[in-house]
Amino acid sequence: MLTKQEKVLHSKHSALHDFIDGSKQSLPIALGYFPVSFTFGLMAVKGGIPVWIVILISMTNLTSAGQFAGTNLIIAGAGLAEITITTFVINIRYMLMSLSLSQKIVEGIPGYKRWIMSFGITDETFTVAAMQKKDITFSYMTGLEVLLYRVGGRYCSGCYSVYHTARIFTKFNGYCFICNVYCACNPGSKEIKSCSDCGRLCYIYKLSNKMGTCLFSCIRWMENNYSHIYCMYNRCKAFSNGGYGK
Amino acid sequence: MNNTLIAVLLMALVTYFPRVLPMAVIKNKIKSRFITAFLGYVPYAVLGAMIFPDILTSTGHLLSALIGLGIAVILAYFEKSLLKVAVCAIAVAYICEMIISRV
Repeated sequence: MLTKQEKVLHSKHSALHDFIDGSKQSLPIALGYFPVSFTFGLMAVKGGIPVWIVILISMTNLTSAGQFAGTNLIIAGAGLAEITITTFVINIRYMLMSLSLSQKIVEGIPGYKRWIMSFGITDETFTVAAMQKKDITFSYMTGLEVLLYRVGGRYCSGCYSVYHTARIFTKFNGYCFICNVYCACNPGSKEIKSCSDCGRLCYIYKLSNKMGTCLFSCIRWMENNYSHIYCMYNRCKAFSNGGYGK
Repeated sequence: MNNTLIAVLLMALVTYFPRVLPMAVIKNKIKSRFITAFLGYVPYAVLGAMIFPDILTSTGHLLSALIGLGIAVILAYFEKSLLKVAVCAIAVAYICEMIISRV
């Protein structure tokens, strides 16, 4: 028999293990979400929705089809009832998935954890979780969802937000440039104390410069290949689900 | 602007509720064999519906889609990991697409 302390330790270990397990399996799905997040951001920003609302939509509506349909309706200026009903009809399928998954999770998960873990049920997470041989724990499910949420919801929620990042980088470039000039003019200045600081700044300057241009060209490329990326997303989605052989 | 915000909130509610309701309401395992069997087949039905018409039309040409599908099926049959299957299939379909559109 395990003592109480050992039991707690054991459950902590397996929780971490489950979390890592879920995170690992979410990688390919995140790969598939990446292009669609960009596509969504492009579409919404082109339609004239402010960036923070685009980000809000991505963060609160964790569903690709419903998100696209709802945003299209908002852009088209549809009524509230129309938007709500359309999104609801598209999302009814989650009811079936959630019902199916509720039979597969381990028993005795408290209510609030159920509310949390059901936030991230999408087509992809559901399929991966449903194909698991063992019962699903809370840690596993959150591991599966967290990365997706970050990828799909936040970091690429608008291509436009990347655009902003690029602009910040260029601004940063400007500051670094001034620092560089200052260093060059006053080698012994007290503000920038040592040579290594100067070198570090130069390095950051170069790096940010490169990243800035890289991001800009990336965005331009994405704007040009909008349809291409969407195709790629479809392919990713179809294959990443279809390929789950085990 | 205000209207948009309300629309977004309604969308969020309507997205969250279908997911959380079954999970929060049904806390015990369902005993009925009929329903359990039905729910057991849901993943396969969902997979089939998600993949099948889409996979053939998601690329520019049917041929590249078929080749990509073939690669995915072969790799999945030999039980390669999900990442390997997805990346290989996408790469192959992409290359085929490039070749076909050039010819």
